[in-house]
Order: sequence, then structure tokens, then C-alpha cells
Amino acid sequence: MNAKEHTLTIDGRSITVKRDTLLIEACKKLCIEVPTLCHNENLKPYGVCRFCQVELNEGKRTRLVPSCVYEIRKDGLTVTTDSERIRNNRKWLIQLLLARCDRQKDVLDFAAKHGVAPVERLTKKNDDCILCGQCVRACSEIVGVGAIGYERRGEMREVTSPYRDKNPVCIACGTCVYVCPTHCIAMTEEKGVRTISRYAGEKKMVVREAKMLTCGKCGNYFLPSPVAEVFAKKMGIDPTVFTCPSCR
Amino acid sequence: MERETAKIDEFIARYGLHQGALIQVLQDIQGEFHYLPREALEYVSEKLGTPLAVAYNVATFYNVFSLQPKGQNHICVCMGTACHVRGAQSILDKFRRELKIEVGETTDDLKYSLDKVACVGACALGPIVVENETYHAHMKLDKVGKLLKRGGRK
Amino acid sequence: MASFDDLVKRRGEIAAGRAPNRATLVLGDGTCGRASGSSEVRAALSEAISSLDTEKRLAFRTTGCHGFCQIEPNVQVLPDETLYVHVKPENAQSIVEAALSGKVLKNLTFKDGQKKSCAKITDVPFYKRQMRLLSGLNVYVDPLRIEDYIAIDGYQALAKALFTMTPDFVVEEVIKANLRGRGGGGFPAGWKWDSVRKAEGEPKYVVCNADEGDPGAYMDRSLLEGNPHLVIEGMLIGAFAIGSHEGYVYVRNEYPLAVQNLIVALDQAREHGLLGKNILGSGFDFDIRINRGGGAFVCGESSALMQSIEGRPGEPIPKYVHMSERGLYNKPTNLNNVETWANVPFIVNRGADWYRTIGTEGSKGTKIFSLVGNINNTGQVEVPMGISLREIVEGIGGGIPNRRKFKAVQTGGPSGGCLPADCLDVPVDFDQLTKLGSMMGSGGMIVMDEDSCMVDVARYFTNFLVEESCGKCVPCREGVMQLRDILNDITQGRGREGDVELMEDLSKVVIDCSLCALGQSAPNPLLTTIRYFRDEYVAHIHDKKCPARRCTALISFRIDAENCTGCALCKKQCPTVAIAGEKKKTHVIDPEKCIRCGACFEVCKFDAVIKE
Repeated sequence: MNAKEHTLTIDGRSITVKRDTLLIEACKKLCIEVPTLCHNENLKPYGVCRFCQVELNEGKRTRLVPSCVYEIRKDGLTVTTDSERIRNNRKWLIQLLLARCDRQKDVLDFAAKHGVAPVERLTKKNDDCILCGQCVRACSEIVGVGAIGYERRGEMREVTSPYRDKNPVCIACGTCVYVCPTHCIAMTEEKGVRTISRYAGEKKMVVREAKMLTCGKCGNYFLPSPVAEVFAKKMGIDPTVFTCPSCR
Repeated sequence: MERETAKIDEFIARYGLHQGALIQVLQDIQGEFHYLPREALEYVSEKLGTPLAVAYNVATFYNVFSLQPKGQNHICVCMGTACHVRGAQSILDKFRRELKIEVGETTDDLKYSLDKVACVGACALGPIVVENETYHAHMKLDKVGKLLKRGGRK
Repeated sequence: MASFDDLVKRRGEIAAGRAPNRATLVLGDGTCGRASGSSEVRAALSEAISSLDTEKRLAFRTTGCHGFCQIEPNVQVLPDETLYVHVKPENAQSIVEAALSGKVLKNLTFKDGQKKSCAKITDVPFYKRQMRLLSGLNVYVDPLRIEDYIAIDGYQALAKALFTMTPDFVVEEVIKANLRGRGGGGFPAGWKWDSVRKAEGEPKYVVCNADEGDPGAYMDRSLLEGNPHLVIEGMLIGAFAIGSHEGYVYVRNEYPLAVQNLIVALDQAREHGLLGKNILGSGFDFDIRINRGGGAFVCGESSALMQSIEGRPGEPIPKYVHMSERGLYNKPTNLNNVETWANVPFIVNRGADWYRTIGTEGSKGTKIFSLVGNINNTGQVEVPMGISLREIVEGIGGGIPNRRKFKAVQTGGPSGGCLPADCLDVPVDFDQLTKLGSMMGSGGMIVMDEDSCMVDVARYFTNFLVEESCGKCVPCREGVMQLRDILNDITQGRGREGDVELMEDLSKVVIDCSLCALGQSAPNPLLTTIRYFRDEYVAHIHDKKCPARRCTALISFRIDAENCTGCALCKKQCPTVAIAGEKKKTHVIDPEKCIRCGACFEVCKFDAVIKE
């Protein structure tokens, strides 16, 4: 039975949505903000941070489901977005991230916002990445080049370029930099060259060094040339024709 | 690299030109060259139309693949539960001490590499050490030295 | 073969080619057999038979595992059912001569606890209480010869289904039989088949999960190596019932012999018209591809397994739409374990009513267990569901060796738990073990004696899961890792007050929040050991002692002057030159240099090395 719409109850309020609507979107329609670290409306659901878990009652039992991944495909669901259980789980998830990124500002701010303090007993690791995967997913799904990915698995899992080496398919667009919630991908420009990299010192991993294009009119650097090439190819024109936003 | 490319093309032909073939092709390459040369990974990812980042992810995700050459004698100590209960850890430690390498490493002369494996499914005969294709059953600490002395294919 | 009749005819031809009263020597030549030296015995037996020019009077068959792994290499003599154990190449000649003259070589038979000779398999305590419905067929089948399988009514069930049943009827029979998944989930296979059958989308896939990652469990390996056709036939019947024409067998990389035998079996099945287009002339098409795993336990999880078939890293996907609707390549997929598929031909051949006579109300049929660890009789055990743990451990397993005491039995692999002696009378099935905090899982049963440290066992499993976690979700990647680090601390003498409570709290979150079953069940070994062996945790944390004297940081070795003969064997084995002493004089261990590897303890013949 493939009805086009379904009605459900969230925190006591009723709402009707189109079939296959994500639960987190249904919550949003009711102005209920579900916290999340890995969800991005422009990307396919990933469901790894587990913050967005809500309690779902389908009649027989109550279970926790990640609302960013759960598609609404039947009637009669009852959802609770806040409870002792959910709050306790989120507290622990933050504590686990605090242990992993024990000096990372964005994580510390997030913890402070939720009123969670670190647990001393846990092993600390000075990491800056929470492995939300938004950078990898954006590069693959939106930019379409897939220049970065994961390396290894489990506690050794990291986001890297292949062989931690420069990857020519990267167009230095900076999408990964903009999308990262912990600002752990660096984008710098010096002497007309944009560098996308991670880490510093010995561990430094450069993904791409791209020459910047100069504006035909004012001569300032404004766009990495690989990005210009992508657009020029799609439009069938010469990339040097582009001018910077101020001159347009 | 030409001879290698021909061999890799052979492998790809077995499974087809699509992403699903990636792991099977890499397995054949690992079997043939005893590791995944970087050029091979780059070649396969291009041929199958997979981004190198994905192929690299696959190559580093699965235990069977190694990006560094394995030794002439590839020693795998089984660390399954039954073997663990019968003292597999001390046997692994003894190999580490004798060969002076860590798990996942190869000796400088490329003669030995040491790995551990979760379970080979011969639990009644544990502790088990697999050397290339040979299964050594009922391993004991004093047998470790003897195995290394023999040091060659049977 | 292009019809049902062809199959029957072929079976008749094979039977005619075999002299009915001819004795057969059967050698177990699976992975365990070969690890024990069966290859050399095989060569010796072949030679002995050909040199005595006895091919017409004596047949020789090499097969997969016979189940009693620790007495391999083993040879059975049929039809007498004589069993010879620990066979060496030099015994070949006498075995052949004895078989020809109908004699039994007493020196090669199994000796029970009272040193009595058990010449027949049915006399051997290990085999007596088993019901080897599936695994027993291994003795009659050389996995490289499809004729053997056809001779024992192989593919009869397939023909019956194709020509005398409708797909709906087959699904109904499997539902009626209440065949539950043998991979650990215990989900009714028939319901799964029904969902896939009714799902929209083409093509539909059937998949066989032969990843068998639980350390200590190798039932699927034995089945796949020893009788691949049984599994193939099950998949064929399932595919017919569901309406699928493409199948995959996902075999873990660590089972090379199973892969080899499966390749041969698939080729032979195709040659005989049992696989491929227009099977047995029925108009039904189906073929199977093999996918090798890459060495990742997490690929035993169904969504990770499918990712792996699609050529990606084996990372589970959070799925709230079932595999039966969107599975492999987003198409309806039916995934079942090796042993589940292997049960199917029996259900079709003999009917669901017959199948229901075996087992308990909620758990029908037999189950194969891998009985290993500190136990006298190790091997593959097949019993009806509902038999008690005690019957398996004591009746079949023969109890604990070396006069040690039983401490715990670990069931269900890394997703399961450790049960103490108090739980031995529980009937083994899908539901009873779960009530006690463990689970039946895929069938691994690891027996532990008093020398096992339960905190170390928890640490071992937790560490295993940390290494096998895909690392995608926060609770598993970070949570299970933290549990492992605390357990490391505890076993190395750095445990702190409150550690147990902290681990219990964190465990609840890991169970609640993990993306897949690996994470959701990861805390089970830890929680069951805390539940049943809390005192060991207390000893490690408070007293910095390991009661089982296993955790190296909490034990020390010294030499007892009274027993030491000064033979210097320990000194030779010591890797850090920590033992000093002159010949024939008492030796001494320097505690500063000692790394507690246990080599001296293992090698001393006079019980002079004390572990405390």
C-alpha cells in the first residue's frame, strides 16, 4: 500500500508529510530543532554522529532511530525528541568527542553549549576531526571529483587524500573547507597559489596547490585555475575571460 | 609496468569493468605481486572508473591488502578465541622478539613478514601459525625458533 | 541433464558403477585434516591401494571434515563404520590390508576415558549423542566429485521443487518448518523469503553469507569445503521460491580451500545442467558468483557484506528500509547463512512436518556448534536444538582436560557472552541463551577452564571489536575503544575505583546508539563477565591481583628450589637472559629482567617454575 502521505505525532503534535520524508525534516517543519553534527541538507543522509536519535514508537515497541536517516513510510508513528534516555546518550556522545578532540575549539564550544563536561578517566587524543564525513561526501556528491576519502578503519580511520599525497583531481574549490564543522581543513593563499591541506608540521598533508587566476580587468587573484577550467569547459569558453566579482 | 598492466587487464577481464569488480581484482593483484603497487592501484581505479580515493579506501580498509611488499615467508599467527585461550599471544610476542618487527611489518631483507589473523577456522588445532600456505598446528613457544630456522618454503 | 528423469537416470548409472559391498576408505582431508598431515596420509593410502592392485575391491574417498578435528588425520572404513584416529602415512599399508580382510586395527582406534577401544563411530562418545543430519553427509561426498552428491540423492529436492511444487508452496513449507537463520540472527528464513518474493524490483538477488568471522567458529567452513553442493542446492531452491536468477556466495578470504572447492562444484553443476540456463529443462535460470571477502569481520553484517560485493569498503549502512526491498544494488535481496541454506534441501525432501519433529517449540532442526578451547573432545558438533549446554560440554565434549575445572563457556562469538557453571543446564536454542545475557550466535562454543582470566577474555573480545570496527559511528569507534583502554588498564594493574560502573554506563550508550549490530552487541562479553565474574574485576582493581594468574603484569615467576634439578632448560628458553644458575644447581629468575612470557613455565619438566 503506497500512500502518498503519512500522518505522525512528534512530541504530541500531529503532522502530515509526503512519503519518504526524513524524520528530521518532519521535526523541522514543526520547528523542532534536532541537534546533529554530520547531517547536511545538501548531502545524502549519513547517520554516523548519532546525535539526532529520537524515540520512535511504531505500536509494538519503542526504539531509537537516527532521524536524519529514517524515512517516513507508514502511518501512526509516535516520536519523542527529548527524554532522559536521549539526553543521557547525547551527554556521553559529547564526552566521547571531548576525549577524542580534547583541545579543539568547536568541539569544546559544542560541549559547553550542551552543558557537558569532559570525563577525566577517558583516553585523550588531540584530534581536530570528528569524522562527520561532510568533506568527503561534499567532494564526491556536490563537486563530483572525490579527491579525498577515508584511510583505514576503526580507531585508525582518517580523512586523507590517496597516499596522503597531492591529488590532481582536486580543483581547490574549498567546498570541504567551508563545510567542515571543526575547521580542520586549511585553505591558504600565498603569491597566487591556493593550498588545501590538513595538519601541520611533520604530519602535514597537502591535497592540492593550485595557481590562482588573475582578473582580466584588475589583475587581482580571485579564482583557482582548476575551478575556472571546469566552468570554462562546461560553458565552452576560454577561462581567461573570467573577471572577479568586483569588476563584473 | 607494461607486463604488469597486461596481467592486471587479465584480472579485470575475469570480473568485468565495474566498481563491483574492484575488490576481486585487487585480491588477484595482491596474490600475484604480494602487495598492491601504487601504479597498479592507480591503473585499476582509472580502468574501472572509480575515484582513486575510493580505491585507496578499499586498499587500506581490508586486512588482506598491503601497500608494502610482504616477505618471502609470510607468517600469520592466528589470534582467534580458541587459539588465544591456548596462549597465542605469547607465541605472537615471541615472533615479534625473534624477528624484531611489529605486526604488519616486514624484515629489512624482505625474508619475513608478520601478521595476525582473527581466525583461520582450524580451532581444534590451536595455537595455529600459517606460514605462506602451510598450517602449523599445536604451536608451542619452543617451536617458534625451529620454524624460523627452517625459513624457506617446504 | 535436461530433465527430472535424467537426474534419476544418472543416479542409477552412478550406483550401478559402484560395487554394493565394496569397502570404502574415507579420509578427512579438509583444512584441519591437512594441518594435521592428511596430505601425506592421502598419498600413502593412494599408493598402498594401487600397489596392492585393489581398486576393484577397495574404494578410496577423500572428503572434507568429519567433525572430530583433534583426532585427525582420521580414516573411516565403510560400510562397517570403523574409525581410525591419528593416522600416519606408515599405517597406510596395514589399513588397506585390514579393510580387505574385514579386520580392525585396534591400535589405531579411539580410546575413551577408560582407555577402552571404540572401534565403531557409534561407540565413540563424541559422536554418540550427536544428530549429524547435515554434517554427517561429508563422509559420503568428495567435494570435487558431483557424482558422490548425486549418488546420495543430491539435487533430488531441487528437481522436486522445480517440477512438482510452486514457488509459493516452497515458501510456505519453509515458513511451516520454522527454519530460523543460523548465522546468529535467528530470523525466520521463510518470512524473509516471503518479503523478497513480494517486493517490487528486478533483478532479485540471493546471497549466501559465508563470512563466518566469529573467532572459534568454523561450521560454515566445514560445510562449504566438505559439501558445497548441499549449499548450492539450497540456494537454487530458495532462488526458485523467491524468483531470483542471480546469486552470490560471499566467502571470507581466510578460507581458500572452501573457495577452491566451491569453484569446482559450481563448474560441475553447470556442466550437469544444474546451474545456469534452463536448469534440468525446467525453464528456470539461475547462476552463482563467488565474492571473496577482504579480511574484515564487519563484512558479516548484511549491509556491509553488500557494500563489499559492490566493491566498496565494508561499512554498514543505517537502513530502515529492509534488505528485502532495497539490498544489493538497491534491489530486493535475500541473504542467508551457509548452514541455513544447507537445511533447505532436507525440508523440501522430507517435508516441514518431519523437520518440526526435531528441536524445541521455538527452535526447530539441528544446529552445528564449534566446540573448542579447553575441552577434551574438540570439533564440530551437530545436535538437535534444546539439548543442554552440559550435555554438549560434558557428554559430547568429554569435559575439561588435564584435570582442570570448568570455568565458563563463551557462546555467540564477540556478540555473545560468557556463561558460568550455574548455567550449564540451560537448553541451547535461539531464545534461552539470550535470556542469560549471551546468545547462540553462529555456533561458536569456547570452553574455558580455571586458568582463564575472565577480565582478560573481556579485554580480548573488546580489543577484537575495536580492530574490526568500521569506524564510521561515534559510539562504536570511540566508545568501544574507551572500554578497551580501561580494560587494558585493569589487566595491567592500573584499574581504578569506579571503572566497572563507568564501563557499565558507557556500555549502555554504545548499545543504544551504535549504527550496526557490531557496535550494538560489542559490550556483551564485558557485561556478561561483569555479571557472572564481578569478583575477578574487584581483585584486579582493588588488590592488583589476577586470580587466574594470567595477566602478565599482575603475576610473577619464581623457581622452587626443592624441585629444581638445574637442568637449565628454562635458561635456554628465556628471551631476556633473566635466569641464572650453574648446571645441576638451583636456578634463579631475576624479577627485574623477567618479562613474564611464560616460556620457562611451559618448558620445565619438574614443576619447578611457580607462577603466582
